[in-house]
Amino acid sequence: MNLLMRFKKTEQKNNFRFSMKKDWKWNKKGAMKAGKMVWSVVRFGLIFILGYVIIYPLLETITKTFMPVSQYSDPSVIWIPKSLTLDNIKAAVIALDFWPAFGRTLVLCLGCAILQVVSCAITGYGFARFRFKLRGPLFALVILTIVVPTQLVFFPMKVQYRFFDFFGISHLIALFTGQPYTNYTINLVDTKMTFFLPSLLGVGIRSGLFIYIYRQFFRNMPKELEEAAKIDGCGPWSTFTRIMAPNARASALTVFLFSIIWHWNETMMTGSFFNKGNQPLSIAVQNANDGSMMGEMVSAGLYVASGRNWIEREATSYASVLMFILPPLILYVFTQKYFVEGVESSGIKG
Amino acid sequence: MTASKRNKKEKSRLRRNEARYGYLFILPWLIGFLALFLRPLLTSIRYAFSEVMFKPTGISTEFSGISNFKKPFEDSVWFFTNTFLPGVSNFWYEAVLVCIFSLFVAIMLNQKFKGRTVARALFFLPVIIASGVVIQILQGNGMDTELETTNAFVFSSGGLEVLLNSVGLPAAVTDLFTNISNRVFQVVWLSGIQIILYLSGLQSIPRSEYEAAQIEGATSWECFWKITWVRISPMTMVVVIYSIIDSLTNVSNPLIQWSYGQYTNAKYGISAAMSWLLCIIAFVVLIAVSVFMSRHVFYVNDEN
Repeated sequence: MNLLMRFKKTEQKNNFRFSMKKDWKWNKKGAMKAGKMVWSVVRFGLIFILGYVIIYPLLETITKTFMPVSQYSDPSVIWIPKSLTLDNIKAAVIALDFWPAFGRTLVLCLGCAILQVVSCAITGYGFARFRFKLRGPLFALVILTIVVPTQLVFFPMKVQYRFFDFFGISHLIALFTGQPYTNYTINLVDTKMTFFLPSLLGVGIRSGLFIYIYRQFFRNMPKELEEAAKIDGCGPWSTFTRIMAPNARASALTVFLFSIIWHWNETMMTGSFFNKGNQPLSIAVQNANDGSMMGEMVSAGLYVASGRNWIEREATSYASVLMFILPPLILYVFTQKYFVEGVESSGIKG
Repeated sequence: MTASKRNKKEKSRLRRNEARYGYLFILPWLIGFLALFLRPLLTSIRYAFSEVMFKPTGISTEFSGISNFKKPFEDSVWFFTNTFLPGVSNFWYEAVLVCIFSLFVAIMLNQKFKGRTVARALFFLPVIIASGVVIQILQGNGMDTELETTNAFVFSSGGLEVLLNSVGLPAAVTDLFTNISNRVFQVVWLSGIQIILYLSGLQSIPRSEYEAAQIEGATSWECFWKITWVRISPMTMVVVIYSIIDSLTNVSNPLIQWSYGQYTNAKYGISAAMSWLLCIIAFVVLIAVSVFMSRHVFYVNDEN
């Protein structure tokens, strides 16, 4: 109110002044307009340069994937190859063992993403909507699972899955039969259970972050919604499944997409939990670019044993990278809107 | 009297009921945490203090005191200066650079201009494909071999150095610029999530505040420091903490690479010991940073 009055007053004053003042005002406006135009040019330049930094490696990968190896060191070829070839792709398909690895990775990513969407929603709802004594300390433990680096726990985890013993059941049986307890443990290493099980129980890859996202969302839901559901005879579980969960679609989509992406890109855990021949695509790409695998590939007939080996290898590595990032890239193109809006509306707020 | 007593009783019954349902909802996570996460975590503490050996009946450990913590430092003089020190200290400038850069980009992407959607899509791209493998390969191929030979890249350090030297700048300044430009690639690729975080923070600032300030005659410079910077400070804290965690636990951290190498050489004890050392340092840093920053963070209380 105060502000408005002051604004009106200055306007009145300005009206009493003579035209020189008006001229000055016009000039100021013009200067502002010019400044804005300069800024929009600068902004375009900056976005263009930074965008170039991001897109450059991608463009190079695409170019070199479809460029015949013979043109790699040709100085007259810049960006646009003289002819196109699928040889590099074919070599990468063999080197990566692409289709089986792709299928394995897809099942792993989709399975984990669906499990995480459900389990993290339930946990997040529990932390957001119910008061209980240990809520604070237990939520601190959720944060702990985000902060602890993977490499700290993945080796003991592997041992645990190798001799899987749920809450000491095998020890209990061993106590009765008198044989070593390892006779009764299950070997989960090299199965997808090593990822499905933690995802189901809310301690999968970055589950802590997903629980956090859901908790923030459910916390901002109006209390009246819950009370209305209660009056209509909904228990806590049906309130969650019928009222709250359907409203959390945006958060669920965000979690789903990020879960897929992070499982797709995971190398440390997938690398150690799966044996050779059963490994997902990310490890295959890593191996295809690892110098120590060279010998195997030469013997598999992928490379001609000649002086040009390293260029052929480089070409294969470009092709393999492109094939690895293409599926998430396609996913991103179609869901790009949700990635951005989802994170914004899911309320990750400080 | 009896009515209020009954009321109280009813209330405490409801409370207990609520707590019970709360525990029920988080039960799956609790089981997972205790059975699948806490056990490996505690086991890795045991590994850090012992000699670890594989046997057909399982893993056997032998207590060896703090020798796992001392051994890498004694074995090689270079371990401390080349691996350990960068591993635990690189985070601060990475966090600062990423923080400034992502705020700058977020402010640009929050303005209205043609092609904003495309620009946004472009800047979030690193979130999708910036995994350890791809970035290593792209950076390896892109930065080392191709760029230095062809100089096609604008930020190629060689080209910039020549340019700056020809202008006649002193060597120290040239070094500084080349150092920064070498990091541009790294910083741009590290900032995807942080840009999203800042963008969501910027969009929660009410427009009316800027309008009021403009009527009062504030310049956009003043608007930034008096409104944006203050309003965004809670998000800055989140971004800084996220960047520090990311930098300390990323696969590109030299100490993590080193301890992963130890793991592949079956030196599990040393690997666990160094990982724990890094983890403890990370905790200390995070607590110090969050205590320091929470003093300067401004929360708006009149909303909600």
